[in-house]
Amino acid sequence: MSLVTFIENLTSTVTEIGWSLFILAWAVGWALRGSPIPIFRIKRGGQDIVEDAIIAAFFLAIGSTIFYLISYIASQV
Amino acid sequence: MQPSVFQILYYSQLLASLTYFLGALIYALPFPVYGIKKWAPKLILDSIYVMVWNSIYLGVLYFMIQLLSMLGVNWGTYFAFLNQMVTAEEGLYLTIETALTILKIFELPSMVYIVPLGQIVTLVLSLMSFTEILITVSELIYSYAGYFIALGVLFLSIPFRIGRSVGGAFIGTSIVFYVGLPYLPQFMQDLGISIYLSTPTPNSVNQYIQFYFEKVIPSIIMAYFLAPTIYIFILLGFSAGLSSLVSGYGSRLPIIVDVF
Repeated sequence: MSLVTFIENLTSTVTEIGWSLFILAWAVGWALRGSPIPIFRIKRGGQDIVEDAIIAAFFLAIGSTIFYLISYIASQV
Repeated sequence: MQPSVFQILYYSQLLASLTYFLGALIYALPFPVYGIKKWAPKLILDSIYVMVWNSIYLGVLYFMIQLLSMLGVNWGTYFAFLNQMVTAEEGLYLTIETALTILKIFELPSMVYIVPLGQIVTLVLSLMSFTEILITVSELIYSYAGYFIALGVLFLSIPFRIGRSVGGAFIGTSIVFYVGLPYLPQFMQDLGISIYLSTPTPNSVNQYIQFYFEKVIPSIIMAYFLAPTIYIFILLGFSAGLSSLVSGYGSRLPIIVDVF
């Protein structure tokens, strides 16, 4: 396995882990935010996790699109 | 076989995408620890920065050539100048060797002991090797400046800012030395330093020796060693500044990714 395929595999693995973690963070965040614990800091932490998860999903989607576009244009040239 | 410039840029693009997705992954981590989360926007910004460098790579090379022509110098005249330096040094070496031989032929050993001609030979030979090193380094920079810039981009693209300062140093040094080194003849001319020696008009051997020790030796040390060294140190200062601009806090992008 060459270094290039290693890095490419690593990138796709990292992307998959990123999407899985987004779903996990989304669930954990909403669970904390909606939990019946009357401690404000925990609820606030849950909201922070949800916000970060949304930003992460945004960057993952934008990044996948742009990198796919770059490789598509590079293959056309 | 060494990889070509565009292969290196391709590797750096791959590493940049890896850096980007690592940043996005860190954003998605479900525990709000600031020490880890602060890496997310940094990694994303770094990868965008590397993509910018990948895109402007050819533009940077073109800009370097434009800058050279704006300064009114080129590498051909610079190499001709260096060869003139070597030729002048060889002429000086020949003169001193001739003088030594004449002293030996005419059985003037006392002169050989009084006048330290051997020291002058050593000095001229050291200056010749210094000039040869200068020529080698110049040819290295002339041939590999673009390659070094691509390697610098590759170092910039390693995740978690591991090779960032190294990459910045590669890029800054290559740009500054590629543009700056051919200006050396102009620099020496502006300072009034000539690599050519005025011909002596001695009346006696004593005057000749006096001329050599009072005029020739200081001027060759100045022209062949001190002036190029001073100039290279000035260039090193410039390249340190440009390196920190490329790799340091100056490398901000006009995009706000930091959402914290």
